[in-house]
Amino acid sequence: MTSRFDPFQSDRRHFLGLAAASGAALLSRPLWAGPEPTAPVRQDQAAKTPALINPSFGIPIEDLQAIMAIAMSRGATFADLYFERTRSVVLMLEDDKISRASTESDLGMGVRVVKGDAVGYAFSEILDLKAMKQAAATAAAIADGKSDAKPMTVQVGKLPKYYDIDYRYAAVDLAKKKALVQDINSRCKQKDPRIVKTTVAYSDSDREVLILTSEGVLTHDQQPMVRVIANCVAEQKGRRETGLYNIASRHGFDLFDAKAIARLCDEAVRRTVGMFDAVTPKGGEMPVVLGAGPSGILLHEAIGHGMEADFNRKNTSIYATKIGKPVAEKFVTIVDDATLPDARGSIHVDDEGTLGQRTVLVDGGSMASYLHDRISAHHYGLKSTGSGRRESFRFVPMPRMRSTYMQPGPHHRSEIIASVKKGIYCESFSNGQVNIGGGDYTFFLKTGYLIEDGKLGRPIKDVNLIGNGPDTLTKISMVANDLVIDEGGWTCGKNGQSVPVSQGMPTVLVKSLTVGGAA
Amino acid sequence: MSATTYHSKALALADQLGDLLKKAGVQHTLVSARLARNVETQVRAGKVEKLQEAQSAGVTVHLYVDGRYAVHSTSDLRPNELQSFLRDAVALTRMLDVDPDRSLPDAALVAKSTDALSIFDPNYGALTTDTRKQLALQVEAACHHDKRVISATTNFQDQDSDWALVGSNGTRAAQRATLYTLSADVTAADGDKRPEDGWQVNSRTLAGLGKAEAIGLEATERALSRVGAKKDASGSVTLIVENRAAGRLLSYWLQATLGSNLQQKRSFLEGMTGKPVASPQLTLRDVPGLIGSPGARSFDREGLAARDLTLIDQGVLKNYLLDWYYAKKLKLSPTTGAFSTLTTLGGNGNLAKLVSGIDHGILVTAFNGGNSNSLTGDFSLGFQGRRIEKGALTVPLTEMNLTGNHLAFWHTLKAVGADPYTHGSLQLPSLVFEGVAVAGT
Repeated sequence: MTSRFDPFQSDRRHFLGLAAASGAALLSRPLWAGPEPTAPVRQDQAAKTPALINPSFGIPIEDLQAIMAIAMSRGATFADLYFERTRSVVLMLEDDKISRASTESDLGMGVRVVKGDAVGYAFSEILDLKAMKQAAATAAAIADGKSDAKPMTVQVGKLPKYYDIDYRYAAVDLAKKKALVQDINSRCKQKDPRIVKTTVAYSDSDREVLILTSEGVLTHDQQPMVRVIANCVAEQKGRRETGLYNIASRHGFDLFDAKAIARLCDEAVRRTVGMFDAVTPKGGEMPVVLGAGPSGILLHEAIGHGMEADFNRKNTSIYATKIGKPVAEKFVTIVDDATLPDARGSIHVDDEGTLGQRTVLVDGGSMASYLHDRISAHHYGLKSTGSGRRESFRFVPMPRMRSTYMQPGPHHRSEIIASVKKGIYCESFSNGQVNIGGGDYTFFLKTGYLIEDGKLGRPIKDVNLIGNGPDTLTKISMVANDLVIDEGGWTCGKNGQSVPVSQGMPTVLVKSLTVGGAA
Repeated sequence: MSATTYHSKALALADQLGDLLKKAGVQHTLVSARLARNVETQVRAGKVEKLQEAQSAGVTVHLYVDGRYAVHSTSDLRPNELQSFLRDAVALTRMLDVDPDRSLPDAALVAKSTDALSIFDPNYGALTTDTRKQLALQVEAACHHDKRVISATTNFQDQDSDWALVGSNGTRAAQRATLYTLSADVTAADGDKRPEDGWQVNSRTLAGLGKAEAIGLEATERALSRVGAKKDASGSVTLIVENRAAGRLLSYWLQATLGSNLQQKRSFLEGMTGKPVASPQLTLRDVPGLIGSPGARSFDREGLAARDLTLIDQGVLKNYLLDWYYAKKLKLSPTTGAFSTLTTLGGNGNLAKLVSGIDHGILVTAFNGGNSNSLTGDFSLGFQGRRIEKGALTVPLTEMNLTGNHLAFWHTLKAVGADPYTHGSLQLPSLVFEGVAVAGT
């Protein structure tokens, strides 16, 4: 896994109650053997013709059945068909002009065939029956037996609602998007005369997916996403500094109200001009206070990836033997959650048809659950936690995080800072990375402060922090009651696939971490 | 630069799009078309764990309409969908701001030959599923020669790609390439920890991958060398960055050579051409015709014909990476917006020789996270490696940080090895730096 030069990428894997719809009921048992369907079905929806529910893919139900029959024809234990259409737009403003835009239209379907722990996969960018059947035959080659599958009855899965699935960014007038970008540009420039360059990037996408499992459950979802980044360069007495802020969400375009625009511009400018006073701290081990919000990157790297069950199934994670064991103080509870309203990391359904849900990773200081996809859940004899995600139809799903955060604790921010004689306070980050087996992780601090005698001192910038996951968990000695879910657009990379995630944190004290810095 | 002629399906697709755009009245266009076949065979515990096979196709059109510019991509190549895609693309482009610097490169600079580099293996079609499995299995078997190995996952990936560019400025270029990759990721037992490492080999031909067993043995040796890793003391040390890791270190420096960062005042290398930016030990060149490299090419993504480019000559900055647009804005001559294969000149000895000459120091074998500020040059990178004592590698190290500023750091380069890492497009040798700050305990 390689890191990408993306300021928002939480790179490398190695970068709540189950929200089922009430009153949902399964109409009939799937005809193929396998685990219980995980997307419950509402009777009135199941009565519809599925092809009519999804006019944009327009695949007749009998064609879906024919493709699935080929996928299952060599004795697979499970298979899924994954259809995706994504339309995205990017507007880039530089030097006061929106002089570059890009659009992307992506359409295709993937066929995954599973036999035990083995996976066969093929995809087609052409949605004609011949090409899709060929993809199914290619994927089916992973299995080598005979099918005992019977014809499948297709049922339609009902989804919860964590964001508005009827929203389409494509329906928002491009002039409005342009006006937003131009407004942010002029506000940043007006805010401080030292700002000499501003780059504003707006991106949105409408992603539509249709998933059919060999259990016969058909799920259709829309996954809108938007992000705006403001990046500034300031000059002062011949010196320059740069900084940025960004907001990302699955909420509609009205997310960008006056308050959000003001916050975006204020923070982008503050994080730029504030750097003129910033110093590089002296390197070495020291107490580290993680500010509320983006510090959730620590959880993502130090524990989240290690709890993805594919690594544990293969016995390659440092957490492979830790379930049920105490790993942190009792006031430490860490969750990975698909259900936060409008969060970038939220999903109604994962990319293998399991409902999005809240998973407790560490419960009161003890390891509680891994993040499972169907394959690892089958391996452990458990239910999937709805964590099977993929970048697009060109990839197989695997266990991934959604929104990872720590629950509020018993302490107060002020008492945490006051308890540190000499250390650092972390405010914002750009990226992180972890070695799954060794447990060593890093995260890169963009802005923060020195702490001296219990008080915030000079600003600091651009240093790497490094620690070991299980070791850091034992060193979390205080957790405040001020949980913030970061609104930034984090992207997680693992095995060459990128997925959008969120993260959050209350103010936390880690007794000791290695901070990169001057000798 | 040797070349072959072939019938490019990508070129035919790009021509088709170019014709459609001409009919739509768009005068200035650059069309990029790509076709590819990718196969991945993954093995673990003596069995095939994943088989993935795919054919893909896509087009990207760069439109210059009435002084406005936009780029549009699609994988939906059905005729009716393409028509509406292009209609929407033109309409959106017309809504953007006019930018007089947006234009296609001058005809004199662009590639006009579809003779391709010899980077396609004519035997690719004969590769069988069984050969793929056997190679991956051989690598995996070699990984398990030591009982401390908990898990080994091996991958055989092969790709046949066809890429073409057709532009209204006369650009007409195509390139077909094969690339084989054989790799192993190994995890070893170490108390509660499970240190991991791996090894990967790329080649344009199957035979060029070398012996499969050697890849497994190398990956395992590297994973086992991580057992017992710990932090070392903070301080100022002599540091060797192994060839495999040196590319990543350089990649952060390279950000400051990009035209976009220079023009947007986000580069610490602004105004530095002709001035020393590194020790005289360092000469850095981009060599697009190095056909064994994954980065080999005869044209770049804007259609600029490939040519050798010296970035640093004996420590002195000679050129930036400038694409057509930002070169125009900066009023400089374009070079290329993205490097192909970076190499160094000179150098002495392999890693063992470099290590043997150091009494006390640290070898960096891999970087772990970290980042760099392209404006100030400040960087801070996590790393793992080995302590060097009396010319020999000793204690494995982890949880360490290397922090510095590029403007000063590259002047501390004291020696360059003669052991370039040949499996990537950053083909750097091992590098020796003196007096650099590391943080540990």
